[in-house]
Amino acid sequence: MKTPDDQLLARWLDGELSADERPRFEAMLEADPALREEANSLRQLGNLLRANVDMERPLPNADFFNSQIQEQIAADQRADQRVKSTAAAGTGTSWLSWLRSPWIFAGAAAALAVGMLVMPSAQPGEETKVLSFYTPKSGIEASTYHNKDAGATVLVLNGLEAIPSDRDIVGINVHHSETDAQVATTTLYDDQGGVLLVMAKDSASKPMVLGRSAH
Amino acid sequence: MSISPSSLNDVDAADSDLVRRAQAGDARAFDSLVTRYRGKVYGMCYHLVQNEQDAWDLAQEAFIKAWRALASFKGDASFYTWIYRIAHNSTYDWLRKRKIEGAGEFDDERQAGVAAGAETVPKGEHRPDEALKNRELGTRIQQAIDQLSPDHRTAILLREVEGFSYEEIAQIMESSMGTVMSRLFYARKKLQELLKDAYENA
Repeated sequence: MKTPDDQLLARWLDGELSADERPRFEAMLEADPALREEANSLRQLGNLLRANVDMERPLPNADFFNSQIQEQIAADQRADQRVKSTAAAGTGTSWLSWLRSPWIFAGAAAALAVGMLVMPSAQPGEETKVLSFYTPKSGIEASTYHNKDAGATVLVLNGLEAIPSDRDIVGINVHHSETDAQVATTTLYDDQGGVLLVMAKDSASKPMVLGRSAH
Repeated sequence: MSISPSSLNDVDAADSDLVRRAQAGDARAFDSLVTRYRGKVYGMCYHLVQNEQDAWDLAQEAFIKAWRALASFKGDASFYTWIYRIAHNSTYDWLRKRKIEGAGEFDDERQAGVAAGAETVPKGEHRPDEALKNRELGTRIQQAIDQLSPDHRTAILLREVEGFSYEEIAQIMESSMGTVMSRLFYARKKLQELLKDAYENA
C-alpha cells in the first residue's frame, strides 16, 4: 500500500519535490533508517535500469523506413493538390466536395467494404470534426486531415480492395434533402448508367449504404 | 547517394526549426526529424509490443500520423514528447484491437517468456567478458520489465531511462499526474522484488 512517505520518497527520487518540501523530506530521511534504506534501494534500481536499458533501438532497414514515410507524404501532398484543384474549379467546400474528386473513386468503389465517413455539419472552409470511425472490415483504417488551403477535410482510407475493372465509375450525383441541406444521398453510376452504390446518412447522421447493383 | 547542403545542415538544426519547415510543407525537414527520433520511437513501440515487425509498422504509422497532424502541433511540448504521445496512442490502440480480436494478451501482469532477441540493448562498449555478463544482466532486466503491464512498463521506462518529468509522462500517456505516480510506484515495487539481488550484488 502506498503511504504518504512512499509518495514523498518517489517525488524526492524523481526530483519532483518543491524547494520547501525537499529539506523537510531530507530531515525525515536522516531520522528514519528504514526510509533511508528504501531510498537507497530504489536509487540503485534506477541506476541499474539506466545503465542497462536503452529506449532507443537500432531500427532495421532504417532507410526503407524513411523512404516509405516520404512516399506516404508525397501521396498526401498529391491528394491535397487534387483537393485544391477541385476546390479552385468551383465545386465548393462543403463536406461532400471530396466525393467529387477523381481520387476518391477508388475509395468510393470499395466503400462497400468500409465504414463510410460521418461528417457533422460545418461551415464552408472549417475543419470537419470526425469524432469516430467505424470500419466493419478489419484491415481498413480511416483517418482525416484538414487541408486549410482547399477548405476541405480529406478522408483517407487505407487497406481498400482494388477497384474491379467492371466497376468503372463514370457518373456521380449528389441529391440534397429539400428540408435539410446536410442530409444528402450520393449515387455512383457505371458507364452503362447502372447504379454502383448509393450512400446516405440516416436521421441520426449515421452512414448507411442503401444499395448497389448486382454486377 | 548525394547529400544536399540542406540535409547536412539539418543534422544540427533545432527541432523547432525542422518542425516549422515541416509545417510549411518541407518533407525533407520532416525526414530529418524522422531520422532523429526513429530509433527512440521504434524502441518505445518495441518495448510495448515486443515484436520487431509490429513495432516497425507502428513507429512508421506514428510518424505518418505526426506529419498529418503537424498543423495542430503548437510547440507547447517538445516534438520529442509529442511524437512519443502519438506513438504511445497508436501502440495502445493496436494492443486494444489485438485484445478484442483475441490474438494477444493484455494482462496486467505478463508472465510470458521473453521473445527471441528481446534482450535490452546493452549500453556502451564493454570488454568481451563484461559484454557477456552485461548481456545476461540485460536479458534478466528485460524479463523483469516484461512482467509489468504495458502501462507500468511505459511509465518506468519514460521516467528512469528517458528522464521525463511526471508532467511529460502524463502528457505522453494522456493520464493524470496521480496516475503516473501510482504506475511508477507499482512498477518500482515489482522491479525491486525481481531485481533486488542484481543491483545489491552489482
